[in-house]
Amino acid sequence: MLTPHSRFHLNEQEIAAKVIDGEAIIINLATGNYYSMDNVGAFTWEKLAGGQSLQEVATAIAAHYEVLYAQALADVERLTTELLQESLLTESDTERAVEPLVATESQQRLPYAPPVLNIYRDMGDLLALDPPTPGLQDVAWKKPDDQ
Amino acid sequence: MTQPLISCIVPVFNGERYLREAVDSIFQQTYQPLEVLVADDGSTDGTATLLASYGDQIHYLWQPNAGPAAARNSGMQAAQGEFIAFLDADDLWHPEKLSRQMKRLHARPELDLCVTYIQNFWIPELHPEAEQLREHHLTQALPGYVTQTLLAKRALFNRVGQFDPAFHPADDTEWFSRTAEQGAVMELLPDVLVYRRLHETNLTMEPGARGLVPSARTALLQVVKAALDRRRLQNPAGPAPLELPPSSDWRKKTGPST
Repeated sequence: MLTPHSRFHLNEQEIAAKVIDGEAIIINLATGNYYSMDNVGAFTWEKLAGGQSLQEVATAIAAHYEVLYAQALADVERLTTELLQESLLTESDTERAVEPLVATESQQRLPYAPPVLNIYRDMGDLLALDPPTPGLQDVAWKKPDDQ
Repeated sequence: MTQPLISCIVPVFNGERYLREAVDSIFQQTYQPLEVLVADDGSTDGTATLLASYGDQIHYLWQPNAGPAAARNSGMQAAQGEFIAFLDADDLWHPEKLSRQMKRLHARPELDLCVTYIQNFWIPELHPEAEQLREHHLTQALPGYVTQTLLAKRALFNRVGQFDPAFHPADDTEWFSRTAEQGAVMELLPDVLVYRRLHETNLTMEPGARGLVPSARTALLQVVKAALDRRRLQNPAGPAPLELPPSSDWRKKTGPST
């Protein structure tokens, strides 16, 4: 059950993710499903995948975007539920000291739109052979005089 | 009736270990006529010597090292066939691969390309790794949207473009996504007609953990990002889903065994 202090981490073996040109691109390598989130979604994803608590993420959102903390927290909780359903995040066991809630006013907060997880399920067969098997030494296709 | 010529292109870099088996699996094809082109991407091992033993059965091309995508593209430049196929230097074709694919292309003239299912197999020295993945979907026959299974009309490459080295090592995935977006008519044969050998020097392996090397993951993410950007340009309301041929429910097995 989600609480404001819940923290999560990426299952790095199954999930490939990167923010490219401000858009979070995520691939679940086990299912072949892929996802995108931009703006507030990418901002939220980076912090959630980085291990920040829901409370911390909502606080950061409210500091950067024109939204109240309560709304930000509700949206983060909704998004996190979706991310968990898609197996993109795993709840962390790590206990951390509870950070005091500090809502700061920023002079230049950006317009807010709730984060949206775009889900695509149409490339599964294209991604079927990725990844190949683990546990083997990587030897890249290299130039003859490279190490 | 004269059958159309298929150009079979083998890109290789220091691939002498398994190259003869790969090339022989081309010569064992029941389909004729074929031409075999090997694009040597600057090998420093015995690749060239090995290929010389085939004499004029093989069209040997050499280039300074530039990566497998560039090698495949070079092979296509020199190819004479109406159809193009590729085989990696460490993989194998079933003897009837090309004949079964050409049968479909004859039956459906609107087809631009045909791919097949592919089966991974491990070299004996990697049996422990294979056992670890016993329950993983990678041990099953899988839809092979990779160059090793591809048989395509040469004209398709003129229309959709060649392989893009910028997306290495996911350049084949990028080509297939770009090709599907452009409405190429595809068929996925349900037969396993290609065998992919997994060994210590495969391109995208990662030591000690399940999955791709970071550079391969990044490439795959860039492929997905580029695909979404292209599709959103075409349809600002939202990217239209790719339409791929139907496949079996192979994802019943997921995740490595522990």
